[in-house]
Amino acid sequence: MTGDPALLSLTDLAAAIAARRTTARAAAEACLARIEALDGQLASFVAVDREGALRAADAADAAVARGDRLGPLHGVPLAHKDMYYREGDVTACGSRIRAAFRPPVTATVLQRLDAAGAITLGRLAMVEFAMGPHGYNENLRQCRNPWQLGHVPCGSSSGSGVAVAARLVAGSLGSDTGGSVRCPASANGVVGLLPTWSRVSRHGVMPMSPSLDSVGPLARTAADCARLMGVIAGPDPLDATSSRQDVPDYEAGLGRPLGGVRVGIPDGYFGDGVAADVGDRVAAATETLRGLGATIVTVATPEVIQAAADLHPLVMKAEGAANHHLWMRDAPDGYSREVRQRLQAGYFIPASDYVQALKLRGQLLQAFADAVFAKADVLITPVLPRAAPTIAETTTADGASYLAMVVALTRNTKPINFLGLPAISVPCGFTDAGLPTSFQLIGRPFSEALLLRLAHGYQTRSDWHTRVPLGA
Amino acid sequence: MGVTEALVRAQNTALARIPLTDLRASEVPIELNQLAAAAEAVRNLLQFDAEPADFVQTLHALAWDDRP
Repeated sequence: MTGDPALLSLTDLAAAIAARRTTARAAAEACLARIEALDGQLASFVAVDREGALRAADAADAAVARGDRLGPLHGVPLAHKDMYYREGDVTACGSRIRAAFRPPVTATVLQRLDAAGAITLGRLAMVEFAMGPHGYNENLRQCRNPWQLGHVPCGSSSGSGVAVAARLVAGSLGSDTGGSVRCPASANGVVGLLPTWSRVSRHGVMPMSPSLDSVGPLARTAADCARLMGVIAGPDPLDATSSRQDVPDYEAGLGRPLGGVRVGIPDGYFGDGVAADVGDRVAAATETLRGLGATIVTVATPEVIQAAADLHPLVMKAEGAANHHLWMRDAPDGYSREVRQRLQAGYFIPASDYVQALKLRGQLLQAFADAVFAKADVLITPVLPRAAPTIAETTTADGASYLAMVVALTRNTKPINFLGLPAISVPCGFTDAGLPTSFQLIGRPFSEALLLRLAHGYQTRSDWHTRVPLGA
Repeated sequence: MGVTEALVRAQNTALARIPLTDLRASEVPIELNQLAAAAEAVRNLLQFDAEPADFVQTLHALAWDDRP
């Protein structure tokens, strides 16, 4: 038998279960024990399904005993942001309005994870309706950063980042509209992948802003994310926007050498407002990639990045407002004050400006690609320009400083959603204050395999992803 | 001129009909003027024949090719 299964990476745990070095029940019990011990203070779970998880784990072990063909996630404990629908089960979306909502469908991604053998331990905390990057939600107990409990975990996939970092689950699905996978991944020291828009089905997933929303995995390693992507990516007849682009074997290429891969350091936009300690860690990571054979080049950031950043909130607010219009009229008190306020501007955006932003999107993407990807295969940037804020900063800051903080947190992530590009957040150390920080790699459309390969290469030369918060 | 509090109030009464406190009615125009400026800044880039679905076509046309 192996050691504590909860401390194994997702891929190592799946291999251990398949090889009978441990069992799905032992893995589930180990994670449940950590949830019991740690989540009282972390508040990453909003619901734990202990009985259901153990029942599924026993069934998984029976399948191993029978010699059944096993899926790539057989017996692996996962939990997801509370916005993935499972028919008949509550999916609250971090809200009071949907506190008792039982969806009539199951999300395609959950069906795919189920078919791959994953065990679901429960539902994870999130920002109310995924509207906010800091991780605060007045409807829930305060989800806390496991590295420093007085700090936020960022969001909106806050529970996903915390639960993976604290080894309560082996992996998780978040969603990313402006940074909501990458920001909590960075703040909690785990890997988070924003796939190319349309790469992963959104059927049965709460909409925030359909033109910008992507489903993405969070896990401890790039290899873990590759495993999850291999399961969830691909076309879905139930999501008309899902791409028919071929899905590569994300794990097969992870160990390929990085010689000849061009990593671009962008000047300008992505470096603005970056704290010195964050910049230093990203620079060191860049040197590690150079040591792995990557060619480091400097790239002039095209001006369209500013337009993408500025148009992102226009699209997000217009679409978010449309989603919530009936409830905003009929049940406004069902929203927290913060989310109600975040929605309001969207009702007064001219439709012509919204359509113009969508019409320009392909043009801006082409201009960005022409300027960047002729010179580099990927860009490297910080994810968060600063360490995760304190809880007090997110709950007591006045209007101006609060807005500045929110804008700063997503500065380097939101334009990538507008351009529809894939990006990965990879832990690269700790700030001077002892909080995790990460670099972001941004690639061409459908280059997730390359991003994962670079991240995996980096993790073969670093040990940040092996460090465990809370002392164990 | 830009978006004013009076305009937001009038639009809300006529169209949106969402609850809006006096404070928010004064704050929302600030946000809307920022968004309007963002839209105005790229107005001259807009091509008449472009359509939103071009984005998906561009996304696939630019797809990364890993073949050696």
